[in-house]
Amino acid sequence: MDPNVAVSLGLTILDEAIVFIKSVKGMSGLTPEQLVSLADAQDLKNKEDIKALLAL
Amino acid sequence: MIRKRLLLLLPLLLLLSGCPKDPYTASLKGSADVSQAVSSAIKISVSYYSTGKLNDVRKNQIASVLNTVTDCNMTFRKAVVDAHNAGLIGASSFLPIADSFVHCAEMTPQVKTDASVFNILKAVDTAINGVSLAVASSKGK
Repeated sequence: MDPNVAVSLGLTILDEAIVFIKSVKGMSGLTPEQLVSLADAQDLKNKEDIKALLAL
Repeated sequence: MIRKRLLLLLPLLLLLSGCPKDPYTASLKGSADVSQAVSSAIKISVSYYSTGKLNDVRKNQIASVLNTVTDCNMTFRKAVVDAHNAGLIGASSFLPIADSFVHCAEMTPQVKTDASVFNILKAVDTAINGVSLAVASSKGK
């Protein structure tokens, strides 16, 4: 594999890991209502992003 | 090699996230973790596809799995809130709902045996299975 591509993919995954850590830590103090609201919004965005992924 | 290690890091982070105090909150936290894991898997899929590491068939297969997981997760969350609003408490009330979600979102053996597909979905799979575990180990039985 092209080293530039490998670095690019590695950075993407690392970036997602960081986003994930922040998300998990950030959610630990939320109320149930806030968790529902957050997850509802994320799922709606995920549905749109999945459509975009299929359209690629 | 580095990418594989980073992909393994995501499920590990899920396990380190800890368990909330009551089954209701544990269920919702697990659901939110799944939503976040799906979001990460989408972004990684786009990156893999744009660099030619993922073909059309596998990209669409991943999208289909993530779509099913998201639908199951939305249904699960609604059932959890309905149960809570109906006055149900305790892990024994929420465990069947969590198990139903895990069954609904379960990935096929075909997906799990395709390494290039499952590597991207591993964190999502861990998050799904972590829901039942989080509810079972929550306080307030």
